[in-house]
Amino acid sequence: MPGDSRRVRGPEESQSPLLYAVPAQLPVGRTGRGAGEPRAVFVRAGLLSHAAGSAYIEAGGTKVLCAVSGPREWGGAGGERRGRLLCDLRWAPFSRAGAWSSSAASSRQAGLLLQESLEASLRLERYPRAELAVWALVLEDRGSALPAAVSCASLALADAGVEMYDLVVGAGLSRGAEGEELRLDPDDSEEEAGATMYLSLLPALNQVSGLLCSGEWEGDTSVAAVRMCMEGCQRLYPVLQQSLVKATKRKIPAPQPQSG
Amino acid sequence: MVLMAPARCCVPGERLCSLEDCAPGYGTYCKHGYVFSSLSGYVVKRSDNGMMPVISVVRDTDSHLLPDVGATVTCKVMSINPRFAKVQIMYVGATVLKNTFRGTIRKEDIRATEKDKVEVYKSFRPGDVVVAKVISLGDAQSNYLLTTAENELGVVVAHSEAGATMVPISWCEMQCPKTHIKEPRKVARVQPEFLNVTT
Repeated sequence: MPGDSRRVRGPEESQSPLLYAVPAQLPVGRTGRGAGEPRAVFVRAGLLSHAAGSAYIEAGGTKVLCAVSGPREWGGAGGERRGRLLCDLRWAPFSRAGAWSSSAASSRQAGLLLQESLEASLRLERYPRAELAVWALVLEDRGSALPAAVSCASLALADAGVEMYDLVVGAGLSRGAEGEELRLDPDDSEEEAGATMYLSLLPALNQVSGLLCSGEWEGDTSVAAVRMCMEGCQRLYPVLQQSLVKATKRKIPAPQPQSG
Repeated sequence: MVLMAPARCCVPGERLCSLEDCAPGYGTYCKHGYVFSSLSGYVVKRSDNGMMPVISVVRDTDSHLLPDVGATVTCKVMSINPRFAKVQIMYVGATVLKNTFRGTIRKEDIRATEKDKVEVYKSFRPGDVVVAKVISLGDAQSNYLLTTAENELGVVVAHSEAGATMVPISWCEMQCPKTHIKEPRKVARVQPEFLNVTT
């Protein structure tokens, strides 16, 4: 007999696993890197065999996995001649330390930034009446998960062979309390401390495709912050390019030189 | 035609060359007088004698091919009613689609002559494999609109009620080799070059 799906069928007594876990000695704060220095990254494209394209990015403790499917059939509402991009950005229940809170509002806002950033880079007019779907999953969030998801999703789309103007690279930045310096690629403690800014850039065209700010920002500092984010993007760009070239060479055999 | 080796690997957004040197081909776009790549793949430069070389980016699998207006498609009939037949598009040209697309063949698009006397159930049956041409991508309500109003277009594979593959005997009839029952169909006169592709 099937059980009642609405009822939580856990044991009557339960404790948080964190009570038994050995407290991990996570490095807190900026250990050995300057204010304008991002964390070391690991990038890999084309690792999922069942998706049309996929990518994985790890920056410090932040881990993001992304998969792309499509183009597939879509009805096309209101005589829309362009294709449609569908973005789904989720945080895994175990992604953050402590109890999980599904912050639906901030998650939706993050999804919108992801969609906005990617849409500007894609040539959706090449996919009439079709739909591209992007799923991004934050496996672990130790700060700057959203910009990592933007870079990861763009890499996955490129790996799927979707036509686009440029890769999208994301960068995050935080500013602590009043008068503190700007810190590129903040970890979670720095992110919670004060104002944050997330920016997506098309590096080859030098166009900003998405910007999300929270907290208080003033004229001069925000200009400096945007510039710092763009520099951060430019630093990450060659890493993404390299991993994409590697994935392309692995996936697709070189065309045979032909003559005639 | 000359192909220059070795093939270089490129990523989207990479600047390939000036617009004065090469003409942009598949997988590229132009901006500010330069040709940029829009795909991750291999750069291929082809030059027909004396003409400006065409630069394009290729991936071996043409996985993102979509049915376009004027394309010849192979589809399977899913359901019929007195006004139209619903089909599922499976091939565009000779390329198999990863995801099938739904299409519609309206009654008036089944054949070119005596359009008013056409009846859908005398032309198609569910399960038939049909070669058709895309005439429109459709509007908000409908999906791909297809036509079979040419001699080369129509049913290519059909099964009789006995389950045997039927043999075409005229442009409007097919016969079952087991029971010798004739069934009406809008039969395609398959072109020899197509036969090479399908076998």
